[in-house]
Amino acid sequence: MISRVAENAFWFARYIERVEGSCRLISLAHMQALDFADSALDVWLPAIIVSGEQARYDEHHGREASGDGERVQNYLVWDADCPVSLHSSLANARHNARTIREVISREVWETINDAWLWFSSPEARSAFDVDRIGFYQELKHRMLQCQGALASTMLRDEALDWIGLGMNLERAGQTARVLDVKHHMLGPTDAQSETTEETIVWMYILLSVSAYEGFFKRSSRSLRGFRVARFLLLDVALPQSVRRCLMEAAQCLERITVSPATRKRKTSWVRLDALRHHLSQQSIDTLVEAGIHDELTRIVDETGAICADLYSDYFHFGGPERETPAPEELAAEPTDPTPDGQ
Amino acid sequence: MADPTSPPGLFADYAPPAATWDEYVSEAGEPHTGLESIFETVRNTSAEELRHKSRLAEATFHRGGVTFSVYSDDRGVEKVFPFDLVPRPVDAKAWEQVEKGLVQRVAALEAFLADVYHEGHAMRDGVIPREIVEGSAGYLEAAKGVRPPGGVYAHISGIDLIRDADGTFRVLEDNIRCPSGVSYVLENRAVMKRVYPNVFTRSRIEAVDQYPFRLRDAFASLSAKERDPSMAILTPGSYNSAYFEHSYLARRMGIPLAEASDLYVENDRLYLRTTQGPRRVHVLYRRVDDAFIDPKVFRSDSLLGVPGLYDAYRAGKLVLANAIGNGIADDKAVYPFVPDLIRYYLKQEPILPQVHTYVCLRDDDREYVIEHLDELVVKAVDESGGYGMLMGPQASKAERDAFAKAIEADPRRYIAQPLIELSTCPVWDGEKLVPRRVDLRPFIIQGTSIWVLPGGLTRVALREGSYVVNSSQGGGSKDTWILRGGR
Repeated sequence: MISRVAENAFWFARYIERVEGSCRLISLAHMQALDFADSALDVWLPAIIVSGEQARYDEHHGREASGDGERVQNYLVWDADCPVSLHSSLANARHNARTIREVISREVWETINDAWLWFSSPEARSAFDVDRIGFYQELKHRMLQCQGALASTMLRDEALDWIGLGMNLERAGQTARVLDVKHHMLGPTDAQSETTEETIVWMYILLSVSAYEGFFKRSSRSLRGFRVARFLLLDVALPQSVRRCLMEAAQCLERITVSPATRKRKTSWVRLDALRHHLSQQSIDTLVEAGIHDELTRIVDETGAICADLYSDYFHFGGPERETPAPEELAAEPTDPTPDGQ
Repeated sequence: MADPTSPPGLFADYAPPAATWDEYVSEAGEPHTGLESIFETVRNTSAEELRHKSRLAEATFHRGGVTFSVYSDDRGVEKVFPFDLVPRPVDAKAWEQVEKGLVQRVAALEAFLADVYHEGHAMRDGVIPREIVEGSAGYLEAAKGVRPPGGVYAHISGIDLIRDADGTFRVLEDNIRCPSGVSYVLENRAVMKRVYPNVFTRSRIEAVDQYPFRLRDAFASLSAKERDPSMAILTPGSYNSAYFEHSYLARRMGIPLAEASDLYVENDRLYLRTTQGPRRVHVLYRRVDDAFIDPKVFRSDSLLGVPGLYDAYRAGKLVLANAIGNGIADDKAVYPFVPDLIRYYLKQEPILPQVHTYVCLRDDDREYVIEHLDELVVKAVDESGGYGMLMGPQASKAERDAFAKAIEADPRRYIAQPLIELSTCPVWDGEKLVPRRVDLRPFIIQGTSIWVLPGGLTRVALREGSYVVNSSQGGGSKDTWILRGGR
């Protein structure tokens, strides 16, 4: 498929995933703040950090405003100048979808377009004002609806593989970032039990990647930090676990480039394959021993590097150099869809 | 008026202007023969129902993203092409004539293009003045002596028709370069099926959904050398006002939608940059004008085109739809000669009449035009979209004087026509049915044969008294219902 279209499909999926992930993260922080009213900073600062927005937020609002839940939410939800706000990610998802409409199904288009129309409507704004949790739920459901449409209405071909690749790489990074914010709380796995407050933090971590119920289904042991880390990093039964995401991402790339010999010449593949092998050989003990923060950083950095490699491997390769027209030239066209006529 | 004892219905206060054909009713307010059933359906719809259906239609268009981008005012704004729910019917008999006339006209224009860029018989035989042809901005040196691969110039034509006071269809304008609007024909129909499901089961209305695969088949037929020709659509990109249509056709035809930077030419062959490496393209349906299509040959500052595309075309390695140089065939200055071209090339009388046109290049015509500017519609031959024209009867003296000067300075650039009372069709204004003026753009596909889509884009001037149907100037569209006859 056309490289540019593949790139847009890949990004479309990342934005969808980002909206869903951030939405969950912010709504959880909002609920958590209700539990820990006296330490709002401990709740909101991590939300800003996981979004990768600490520097920009400090610059615009000041470090002291990091505990101001309303300000943080307004920034992470509505601010068009924040590149990862729900507004920006949803607008980007919708814009990308519009440029690849010929490869996505009508249902996928309608769910994302509907979500955008809803998000831009006064109705969404008033839901945000009067029923905050309902607002986040609605948006999350709309993203899940979109993922459902992707899973059930798309042709099983290359476009879907690019979407799957983008979604899984984004998700792996998101899970790793969420975990990394609390990495300092991870003690040795044979340590004595954690405090109640620590347990609640781990519960919120599980909730913020939608893994709470799954955790208790997979194990009857008590909720402990290292078990959460193990579950989120290594359990292939969990669709959000880093290991599962990398496995699925690798399968997508295997279908995109079928020949193993050709794959071996692509840096993106070599990197992805190495990372997933590395993780499959680890246990939570070896990870904690090696330094969980370093391991998580490696995951975040490597998934980022894989995305960068995809550019030279697939999105921008072959044929002579190409120039992209400036939007001004593209827009210098009649504004009439049916020009001519009396 | 209709029987006063029957419930008045939506047509109760409906009064088309005098000396104007109305698409539904006669001067006496009776439905035209063959349209009785549709008339009844519309008349018996309640205002509440129409209000509800209008909202439903609007929401459906927004939801489907059936929009065009408007960048002149606010960047990134997408608008829904205004749509009116009252269908525009055409009875089977009238359509049969239109269809024949369109096939004939496209055949003549096709012959004209082949002639103009090769032997030039029509000019030598005095059918059309050489200066009209060679002075046209649409006449391209680059097209001279080049046989379009596949042998066809006008793959897709959109011929604008109007209906005069007698109800006679007349050609107003030809669009043989990149006619747009067909996606709205198809999407309008889809919406109408949703809001009027019962009518479709009762009435016999020609289907329009076959257009995309008809087009695909036509392209495939011209690339006969290739067993499985690879096709693509070239769009200026998602910022273009007609982007929805480009994307829509790509989807419905199942072919890739490319931007210029996705394509390149090597050894006179066109390639797509894909994730699997270069992929050859045999047929390119380009939605980019000639001037922008290849910066090596035409406008060198254009990034909308592909360097070397022209070479691939000239070398016979690429079917381009439409062909290069078609602008000469839909030049407004050539239009007055089309009936003679039909007689000359096809040895037939024109089936579809057109609008009488004064060619300002001719001394007699020019004198008449300048004398009668207050009665005429003057058009610059190189403008479109309702721009560069003077609506004489409504213009101020200053505007008329400015046009007189411009005509004297460059007569080749202007033509003039009497103001035609475009037919009216009922439009729902939110409260009641009101008569508004309409035109019709049918679409014609030419592969190894010529086929007319049974339907077309009905454009409507939504402002009271307006004759301008362009959406940039307050126009909207309607679904066109070609009624099936006894055929």
